[in-house]
Amino acid sequence: MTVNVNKPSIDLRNTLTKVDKPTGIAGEAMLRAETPQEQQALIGVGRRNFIINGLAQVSQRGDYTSATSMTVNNYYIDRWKAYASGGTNTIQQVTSSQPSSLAGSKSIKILSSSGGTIALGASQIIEDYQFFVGKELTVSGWMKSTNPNARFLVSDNSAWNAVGDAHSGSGNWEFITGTITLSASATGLTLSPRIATSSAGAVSVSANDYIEFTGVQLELGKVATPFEYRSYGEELALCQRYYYETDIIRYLNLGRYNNNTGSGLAWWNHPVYMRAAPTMSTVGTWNTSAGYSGDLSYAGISKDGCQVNSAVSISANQMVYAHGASIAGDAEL
Amino acid sequence: MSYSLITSDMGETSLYCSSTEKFTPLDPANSDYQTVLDAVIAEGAACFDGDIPAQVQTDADAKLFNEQLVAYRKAVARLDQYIVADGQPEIVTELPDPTGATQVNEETGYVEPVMVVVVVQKYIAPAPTPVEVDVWDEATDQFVPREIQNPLITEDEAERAAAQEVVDNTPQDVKDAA
Repeated sequence: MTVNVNKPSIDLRNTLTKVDKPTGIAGEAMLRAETPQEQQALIGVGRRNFIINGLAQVSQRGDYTSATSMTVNNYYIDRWKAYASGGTNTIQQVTSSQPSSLAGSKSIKILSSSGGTIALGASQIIEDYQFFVGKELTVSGWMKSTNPNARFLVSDNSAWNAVGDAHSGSGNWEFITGTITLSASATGLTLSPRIATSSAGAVSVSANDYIEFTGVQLELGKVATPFEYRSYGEELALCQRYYYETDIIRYLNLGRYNNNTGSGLAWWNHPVYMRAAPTMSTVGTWNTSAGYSGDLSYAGISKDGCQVNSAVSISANQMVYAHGASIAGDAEL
Repeated sequence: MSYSLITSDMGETSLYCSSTEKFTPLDPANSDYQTVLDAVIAEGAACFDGDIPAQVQTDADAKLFNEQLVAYRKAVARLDQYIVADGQPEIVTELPDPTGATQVNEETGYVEPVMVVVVVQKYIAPAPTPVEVDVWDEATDQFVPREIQNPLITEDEAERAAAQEVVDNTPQDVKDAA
């Protein structure tokens, strides 16, 4: 018996040409990805950057656009904790001469006035470190330094490790990136741009050596994706979870209910829900004239507000104004 | 630092620091409150105007206990390491073959696992001492050989002494909890 089989003709030459189509490394990685999650990670979509204020735009504590004497472990530009193992040092929010790819950004410059054998830089403690435990994380950012030991360091609360190469010390902007696996026993995560050894030890620093950084990004995975821009409003709200400072308050009403005399009272709401019940303080001086509150005290502090008490005692059904100072809440790590 | 407990006439509290003029909640997640606890641990009642509030004292005691527990465990682990000057003997043991191989015991007639010798502790030779190093001699303006104790042994002895001091100074209730 004879069987006839028909099949569509194939343009073999054309098909082979398509097989040779260049896909590039990224394209091949996308084709190799086995799940949509892997493809999403490769593209780098969604919220990625766990660093807050990576462009150094938010500075609620003051104007540091001029070099300011730096105290170790103090915060100046939001979320960045100043660090130096010794020497006399300054910190500055630089607003010009930014990397061309980050036009409009600001940067943090930490300079050693004295020089010496020291480690010098700033740190950002990550609140949600649990997401990184036992996983690969990638650090990227722009760095400028006159010292060849400026680098990104990561701590798991047990030891510091360098991520990526050190800056050349050329005094020019260089893009630094690197990947590291956070240990499975990590009890924290801190990222620090710092002039130091690869284990955060002191190095030789000349007078006026500095480290400057911006566009800092910390993300899951082993690929440094483009910097994730957030609006100033978003970045400010993220910073306020750790610290906020109001503008000068004009008239905050502190009243007394109709039962007895005592301090004027009000409930103060923080601008956002804070990381922890914050330490409250006054920045400036409250008006002490007749009808005004005098120095405020703060009690019953929680993550979303606190009780504010006037210094002066008032009668039932009366009120005083708090006027002329700012209120600050600090829940930094 | 000098702290005092502020209680509003509505019964709400906070800790006031007279040197910083800040009001700190009694919240262990607040880093300033941890500073207060550190001051209580280091200075006791001297850092407070008036009595230390009961909750603050309880939190300070708990923090001290946990810090001592961590230090004690670390010190014990350090002392468990071999002494560099003595080295470490090899220890072997017999374990069933991990492949699951068996054989018949000719005396009993039973099938038994094949036993293999496994090293459970590697041999480490004692660190040699003294060792010779070159030291600059200002009298002759040249390096001259000197014998010193092996620096590895010196470092090991210092670390062990520090660890032993931690163990000796740890309260018994902390040791019991380790």
